[in-house]
Amino acid sequence: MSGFSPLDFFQRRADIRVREVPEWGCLLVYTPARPNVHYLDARSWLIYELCDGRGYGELLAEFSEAVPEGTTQEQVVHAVDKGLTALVDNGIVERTDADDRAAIEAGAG
Amino acid sequence: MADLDFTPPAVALPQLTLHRPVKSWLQLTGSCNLKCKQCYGDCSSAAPADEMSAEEFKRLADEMTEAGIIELLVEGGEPLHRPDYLEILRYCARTMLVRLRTNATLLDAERAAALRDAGVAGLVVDFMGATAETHDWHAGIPGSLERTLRGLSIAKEAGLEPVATLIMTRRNVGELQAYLDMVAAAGVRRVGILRLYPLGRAKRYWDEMALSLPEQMAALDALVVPDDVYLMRSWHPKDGNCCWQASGVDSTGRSVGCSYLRDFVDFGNIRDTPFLTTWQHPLFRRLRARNVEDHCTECESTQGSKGGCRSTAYAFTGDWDAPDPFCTTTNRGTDVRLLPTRLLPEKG
Repeated sequence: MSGFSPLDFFQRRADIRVREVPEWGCLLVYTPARPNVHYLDARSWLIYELCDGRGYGELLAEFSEAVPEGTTQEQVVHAVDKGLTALVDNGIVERTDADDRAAIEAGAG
Repeated sequence: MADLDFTPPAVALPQLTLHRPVKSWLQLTGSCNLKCKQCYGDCSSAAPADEMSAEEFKRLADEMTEAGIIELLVEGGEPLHRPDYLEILRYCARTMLVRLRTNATLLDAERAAALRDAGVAGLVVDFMGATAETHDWHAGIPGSLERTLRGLSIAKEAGLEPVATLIMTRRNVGELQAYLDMVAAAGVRRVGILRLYPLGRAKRYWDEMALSLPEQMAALDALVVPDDVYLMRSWHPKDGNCCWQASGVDSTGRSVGCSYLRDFVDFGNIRDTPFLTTWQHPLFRRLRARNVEDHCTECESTQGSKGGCRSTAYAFTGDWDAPDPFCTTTNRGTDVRLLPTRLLPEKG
């Protein structure tokens, strides 16, 4: 059971700075609004990259493509939820629900 | 899923090689309001005449950001002794995590709030003893401990989570436990005990301050660390060769790789050479390669790097590829109380 709704959307925040460290296979993320540097391993980094405004369901499906064969859907949901929760809680990714998104799109139009 | 904690364990890193730097040290000023005997910068109340301007610091911050620096440790002198410190720190904190090392004596509530609002992530506060007699002897100014403790309290109230550090000397070694307990009682959860380096003014007081390695190890072994305190220390078995992840620039623009290398290297001045070019200086590339002739396997297992500190290795042997004499395994009988003749300060 996921803590997220299929109507949730995720977007990387604009007010952060990222530093790819391919030598370590990680992404460092600086969050000036709450000064800290966060270490994202390859899995967190992938989830972060998938947060391009897409919805939770699409994000889950895309992540499933990248996991080893034999990984259960329950494991995928657990990994994605844990990753998203940490990314949102640490101010790296923004979560919006369908109503927020509709309002934003209406405003943009 | 990672825990999203910063700084992964060194042993978990796939390789200790970086093609661009991640962290840096920056000396904001060579001036200070104290006269510490262990000062590595040999600072005075007046800044060096050729110290960088705020605009030059900002250009350097842009270069560092472009080069890949994401974490910056800012020191002095005493950074708060420089009138335009806030302007520079605010600029740096837009793109890099900024931690500020300070004696905290100049900190008041207004300045602490301004530092927090400028985006400074935290303070590293220097202690020199657990009693006024000892601390103030090192600082050279009566009343310093009282003002540092007040500054520490102000920092905490402002939400600037402080780390406390102390350089172990012959004068304060008997107060290490009291220091630990004192800063723990003040709410500090990360505490450092640092070794004394033969740099700057510390060389002139080396005879009075230096301890033998066995004396240092015995003092560390005797400590009882409070349960809720994390003690940082860089002796065996945690003597790392940090050059692989270091970079640093002093207040005049001289690129030195690491604050502890400042007396021994000059990788070029960022006023006329790009920061990243100085980082690629042949000597610094050599130090980052960690081709140390002998090393402690126990320290290697905790730090993932070989040979220990390059600064002290070079200071005591004159050889960049020698092992660090501050590690019990690779000390080779070196009495670290005795400075090599070439390091002895000139008389007069």
